[in-house]
Amino acid sequence: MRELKLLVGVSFRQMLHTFATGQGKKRNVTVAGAMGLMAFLALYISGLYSWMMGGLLQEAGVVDFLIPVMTLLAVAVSLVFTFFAASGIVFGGKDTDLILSMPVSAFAVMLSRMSALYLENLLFVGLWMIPTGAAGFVFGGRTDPLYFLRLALAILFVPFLPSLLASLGGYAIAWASARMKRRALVSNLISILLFLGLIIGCMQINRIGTLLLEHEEEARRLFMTWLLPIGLLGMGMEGNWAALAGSLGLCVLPFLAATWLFSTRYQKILSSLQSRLVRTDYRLTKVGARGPFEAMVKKEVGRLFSTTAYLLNAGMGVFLLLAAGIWMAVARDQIAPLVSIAGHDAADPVVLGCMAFLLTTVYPSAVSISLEGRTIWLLKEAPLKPSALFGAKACLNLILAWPATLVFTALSAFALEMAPARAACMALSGLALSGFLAVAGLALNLHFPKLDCDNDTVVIKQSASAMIACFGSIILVALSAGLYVLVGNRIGMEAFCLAMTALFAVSGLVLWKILMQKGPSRLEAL
Amino acid sequence: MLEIRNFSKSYTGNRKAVDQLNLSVPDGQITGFIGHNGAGKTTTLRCVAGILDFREGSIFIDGHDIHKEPVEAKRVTAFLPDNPELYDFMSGIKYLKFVADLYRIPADVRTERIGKYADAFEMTGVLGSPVSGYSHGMKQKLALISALIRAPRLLILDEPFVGLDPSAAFVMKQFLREVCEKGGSVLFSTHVLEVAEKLCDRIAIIRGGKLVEEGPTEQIVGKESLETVFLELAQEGKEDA
Repeated sequence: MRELKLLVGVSFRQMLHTFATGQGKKRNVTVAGAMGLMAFLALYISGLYSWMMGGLLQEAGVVDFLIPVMTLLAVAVSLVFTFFAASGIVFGGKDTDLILSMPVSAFAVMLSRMSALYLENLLFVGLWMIPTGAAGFVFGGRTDPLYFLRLALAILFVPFLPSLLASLGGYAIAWASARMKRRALVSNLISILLFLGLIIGCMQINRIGTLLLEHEEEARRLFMTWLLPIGLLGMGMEGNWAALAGSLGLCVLPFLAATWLFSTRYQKILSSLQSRLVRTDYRLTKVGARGPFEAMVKKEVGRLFSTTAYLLNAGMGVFLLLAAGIWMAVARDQIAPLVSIAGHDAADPVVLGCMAFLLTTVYPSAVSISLEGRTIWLLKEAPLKPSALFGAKACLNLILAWPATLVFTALSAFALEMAPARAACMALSGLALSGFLAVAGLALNLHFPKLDCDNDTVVIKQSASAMIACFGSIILVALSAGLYVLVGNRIGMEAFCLAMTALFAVSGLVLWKILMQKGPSRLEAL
Repeated sequence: MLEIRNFSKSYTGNRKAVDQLNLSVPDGQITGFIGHNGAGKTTTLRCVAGILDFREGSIFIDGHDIHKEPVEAKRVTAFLPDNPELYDFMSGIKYLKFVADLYRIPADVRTERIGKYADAFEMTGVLGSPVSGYSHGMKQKLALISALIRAPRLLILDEPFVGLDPSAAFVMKQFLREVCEKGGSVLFSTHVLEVAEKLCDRIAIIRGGKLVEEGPTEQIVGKESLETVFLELAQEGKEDA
């Protein structure tokens, strides 16, 4: 028990450590900042949807659906955050040799790993459930103070569900990729398929309320069968303590059972993942040559495509942009009537906003220095000019974002029958924004590096620079949208796009110049 | 080849890891850098390689100041750390190609050099495999090959014998000598005093961040063994403290 407590403590500190950068006060600030951003996201999404859905369901007389539906969403969104991390946190980690060599049971090790997942989910689900609980209290017209005790229990136990699902997914990815020759490719394909499923699910999120009202009986049946833990939780929150106990049991018991099952095969799984076949039949042929910059770009691209978590997290916007563009082109006939009602001056800026938002989720440069980790000596030792070193890292952003921007603009212009001049201006602003974000991400990563992480996933998903890059640029786009509301309507979308293009291009160039001057010494100091 | 002048390096807390170090590594010679754990060897070597920043003193490689002309200085240098972390996602050959690209080695030259050094270290057959599957010794050999294919004017090695099998260690010694025969020079740190005594033309001994002995090996060793000299100096250090 003592060992278990120690291991869980290590896992917990590891999780906090992933948010931290720097020393002393700066370290505490980065931890607080990263957690604050995650908290904001959970509270904002949950608050918005809880209140929207609460009103809708109350009107329809089915407010008892509010808690189960929002809990289901909490589990789904939390799962998105931890799914791709699970194979790294539970079945990866560079400290596994150390931990496994210690006199502790495999169950304790496994439980500590699973606890790391649980703690991450607890943070998100816990915060998500607060507005949901408040909305349930208000719209449900409750007065029972014990409601909050039940809510607290739900907050503690519900995170076991996404943790369980994420660990199963992580195991599936690890198991499949361990048996394939091209592990990275297989892992990428599995993850992309899951991701596409998720996108389709997300596109239905605004229709949940309507769907519930249209298919009330089926929904109730679903909550009493496949979604039983959540269905029982809904009943429990209504005051049924037996149902609540059943729900909590169904959350925690499968989690413990999976932990035990994994622990019985933990060493075997890790062994199969770690044993890489070293072939001895390579024959040397003529080795091609390219310049240092091209070599660096190729290395960055290779790195991106060899790590699924990197590709899917830092390159998420590219997939979303392409999927959105294709969807718009395919659903052109359904979109056309809506555009004709709203008018191009209302519809086109929305598409522009969506494109800008999705481009903010392309952030490889913001983690590319952190990902060098212990291999950073290679770059420091190499006779590389700052322009080649930083340029290659920024270039990776552009390789991803620029083609996607152009494809999305072309497809959306086709779908919306947008004027060519407007489409061109929109494309220019997207290209300039991507350029700015590439340089800004690099500057951020130099300022908030994370070179000592045990696995890449945490750098990509949770490091301060990744979070600031992602959420900070969302704020930037939100401010730009606000600016459009204030002045864009008056000067027109084309002029606004050109002004933003100039702003992002000039800001990007200024930042690049600063990076060229201060970046090398900053890199050397790492 | 290498000139270190009044070099000092402090870490957080103002403790000097290296204090006013002056050292010359002449062309065509192998210099052994010896000292106890924490004496400042690795810090010095990493500063020479341009990996660590420093404020006091200056380091010149082939006439290039590592502060003012880092790219030019690094172009003629190769550094091998004590525990080389390499890109796990690359295969051995891709890694060598990457390094060759960074150092602008022409295609025909790189093929010939990779063939020569990979054969010598018995690594050719495994170059197609991912680095993630390599043992510590294999990674060490790959890093060494990547250093040698650059035909460096200055080769800096931090504990190069750790993790190498005896035949690889033998081959490496031959190549170190080859670098010097071509006019280059080698500076390496080691705890294996017998190797240093036999291989090195010059010896530099560092203690508590200060250079306490430096000169031709036969002059430093005299009629005793390097081990005896080193232990005597270590004892003096304790008494001074």
